[in-house]
Amino acid sequence: MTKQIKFLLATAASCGLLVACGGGGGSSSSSNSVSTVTPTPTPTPPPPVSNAPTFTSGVFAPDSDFVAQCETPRTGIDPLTDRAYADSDGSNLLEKFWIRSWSNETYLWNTEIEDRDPNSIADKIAYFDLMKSNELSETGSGIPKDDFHFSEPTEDFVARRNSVAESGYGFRLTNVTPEDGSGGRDFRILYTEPDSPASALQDGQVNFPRGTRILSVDGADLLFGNDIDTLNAGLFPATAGEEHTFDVQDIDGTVRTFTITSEDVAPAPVNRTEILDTPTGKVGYVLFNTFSPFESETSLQEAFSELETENIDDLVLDLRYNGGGLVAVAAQLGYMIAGGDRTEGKTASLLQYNEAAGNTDPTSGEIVRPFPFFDTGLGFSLPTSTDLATVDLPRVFILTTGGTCSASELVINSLRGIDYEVIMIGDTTCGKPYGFLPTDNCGQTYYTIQFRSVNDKGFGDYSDGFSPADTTNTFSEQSPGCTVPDDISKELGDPEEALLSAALFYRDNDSCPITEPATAKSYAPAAKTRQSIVDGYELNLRNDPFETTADSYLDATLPTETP
Amino acid sequence: MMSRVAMIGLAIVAGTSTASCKTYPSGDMTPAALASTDPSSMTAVKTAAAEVLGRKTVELGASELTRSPTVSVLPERAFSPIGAPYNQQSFVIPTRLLLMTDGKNCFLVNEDNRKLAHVKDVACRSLGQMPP
Repeated sequence: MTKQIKFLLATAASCGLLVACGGGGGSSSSSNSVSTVTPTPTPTPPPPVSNAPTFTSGVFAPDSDFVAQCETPRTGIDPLTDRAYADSDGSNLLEKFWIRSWSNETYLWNTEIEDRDPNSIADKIAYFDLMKSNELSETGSGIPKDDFHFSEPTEDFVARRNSVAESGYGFRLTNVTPEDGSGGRDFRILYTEPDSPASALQDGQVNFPRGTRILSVDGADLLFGNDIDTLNAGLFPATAGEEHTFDVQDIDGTVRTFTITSEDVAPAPVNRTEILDTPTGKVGYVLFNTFSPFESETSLQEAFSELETENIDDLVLDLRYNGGGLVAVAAQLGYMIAGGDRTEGKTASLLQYNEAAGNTDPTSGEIVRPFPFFDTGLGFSLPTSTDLATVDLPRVFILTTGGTCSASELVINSLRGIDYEVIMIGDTTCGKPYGFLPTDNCGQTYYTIQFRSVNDKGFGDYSDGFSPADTTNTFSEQSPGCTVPDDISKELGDPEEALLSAALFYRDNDSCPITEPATAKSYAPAAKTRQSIVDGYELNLRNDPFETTADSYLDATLPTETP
Repeated sequence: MMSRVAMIGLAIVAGTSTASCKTYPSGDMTPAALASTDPSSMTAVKTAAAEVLGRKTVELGASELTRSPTVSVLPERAFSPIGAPYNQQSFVIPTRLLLMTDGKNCFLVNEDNRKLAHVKDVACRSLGQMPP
C-alpha cells in the first residue's frame, strides 16, 4: 500500500477549549428579589422523598444508575485503578439494584434469571447468588449450566492479584493422596522448569525428576506429620536464596536426601521441544504449559521455527498441564499448526454474549471482533512485523488431561471449527468454554458468566470437555484418539511415556494401543468446580495445603500468571 | 493491519486532552520510525501512548520502532487475578498505535478512535510508503 495517510484537521480550535462553567447555572436573579408581600399560608411539608428505587418486575434501569452507590463507601486510592475510589453514599438496597441491572445486562443467560425484588432479600451476596440460571447443562450431562457463580471481597481479589510467588525451585507438584490416608500424603513432581534448581544436577542426579515423591522437608514429615508451617516454609520459600533439605523417593524406590537453594523462577511457556526420529518420519514434540505470560508468544515462535526447519512429518502438542491463558496466542498457535491455507479468513474464536447484547460486548460497549488465526506477531513479546512460523501439517496429536483447560481447549475447538484433524491422546479436558470479567462494586467482586467462545462453525458448548473417541464420557465432545491415563513414571517427551507412546502408536497403526484397564490415578491438577479451583490457588495451598479432599488435586504451580 | 491503516483517512479529534495547548500536525502525515530507541525516546513514546489511551502509565510490548511505525502497548491486567477461575482464558490483546510524522514532529495515533498525542523531543523519520 502506498497511499499516504492524510490527516483531516477536523478542527483547529483545540488550544484551550472553553467550557461553559457559569456559576450556578439555573439560578436566576429573580430568585433573590422579592416581588410580592402577599402573605401565604405556611405550606404543609411534603413527605420525605425517598431515593430508593422501586421494583417493577421485568423493568430494569441501567446499572450505571446504581453503580458505586455504597452502603459503606470506600475512600482513598483504588488499587485496581490507581485512582480515587468512585464510591459514594448509597445503601445496601442500591447495591442490590446494581446487581440486578448489571446481571440483566451482562449475564450470558440473562433471560433465565428469576427477577427478584431486591427488597425481598436482605443480604446482597445472597441476592447475587440467586442471579443466575438454574438450568442444566445443554450437553445433557445433568450438571448445572452455571456452576461458576460467586463473589468475594475485593480486597481478597486484589491480594491474590498482587500475589506473585517470587521464589521457588521450579517444580510443579501434584497431590495424589489416597482418600483413606493409609499411605500418607502423596506429593509428586509433575515437571520441572528448565534451568531451575529443581532440574539441576547434584552428584549427577537431577534434584526432582518427574514422579519424585517428597517424603519430608527440613525434617518435617510430609506423609503423616502436622508441622504445617515447616512444610510450607520449605515447599514454598518466601525468598530466593533459602536453603531447605528434602528427603525424596524416586520412582524406582531410591530414597535421597539433598539440600536445595530457592531462586526466582519464571515458568517457561514452552518447557521443551523435541524432534523424534521414527522409522516413519520425524515427529515434533512440544510441551507447552501456559498461554499466560506475554512471553508465550515468543516461546511458541521459537519452538515452531525449530520444527519448521526440521521439516517434521507430524506434531505432538502436549497440553496436558496447560490451564490456558491468552486466547490471542491460542489463535496464533492454531495458525502455527495448520498453516495459512487452512486458516485464512477463518475465525479461531468469537465471543458470544447474551442475546440482548447482540454483537456488542455489554461489559465495555465495544463491538465484538472475532479472533482470526493470527499469522503475525501481536506485540505481546513478538513484534507485529514478524511472520509466524508454521509446520503447516494436515493433523495434530494433542495430549490432554483434566488439566487441559480454557485457552488450551480453545485450540482444539478452533481447529475442529475448520474441520482440521485433531487426534486426542489422554483424558477428557476440563470443559471451560465460558468466561467473565470479575467486576467490583462497593468492595465486593462479582463473577458472573458473561460470554462463551465459539469457533468458526459457531460451536462453543463443550462444558463437559473434549475427550478421545474411546471415552466412556458420553457427554463430552469427542475427537479421534485414545484414552490413556497420565504416566508420571517417565519424563515428558520420553517416547516411552504413556501418552506420547500412544500417540506414536496411533500414528503408525491408526488405532489405540492395547493397555491394561485404566486403574492408574489421574495426576492432572485440574478442577472444575469453583471450590476445587479455589483449592488450586497457590495462596490457599500456602496457607493450608492439606485441607483439600483427596480427589481435588492441589496445584502447586509456580507463578504461571505472572504478566 | 498495515494495508488497512494505510487506506484510512484519519481525522483528528482535537481537544481530547485536558492540556491547554498542544502540538498538532501541520499537514499530511506519514508513518514514521524512531531515529533511536534510547531510553529517553522510549520514555517519550510511553508518555504519549499513555496520553492517547487515557491511562496513567503503560507498558510497551514488542516493537521495532526504528524500522516500523507500529507501537504495541501491552494490555492492562487489572482483571486477571492469579488463580481466579477463568483467568486462564484472557482475551486481552496489545493495542497498536501508529507512529507518524508531519515532517516536523512525531505523533502517536490510535486509529480506532483517531486520538493522537505529540511525542515530545523525539526525532523520527518518515517511512514514506507503507510496506506491503
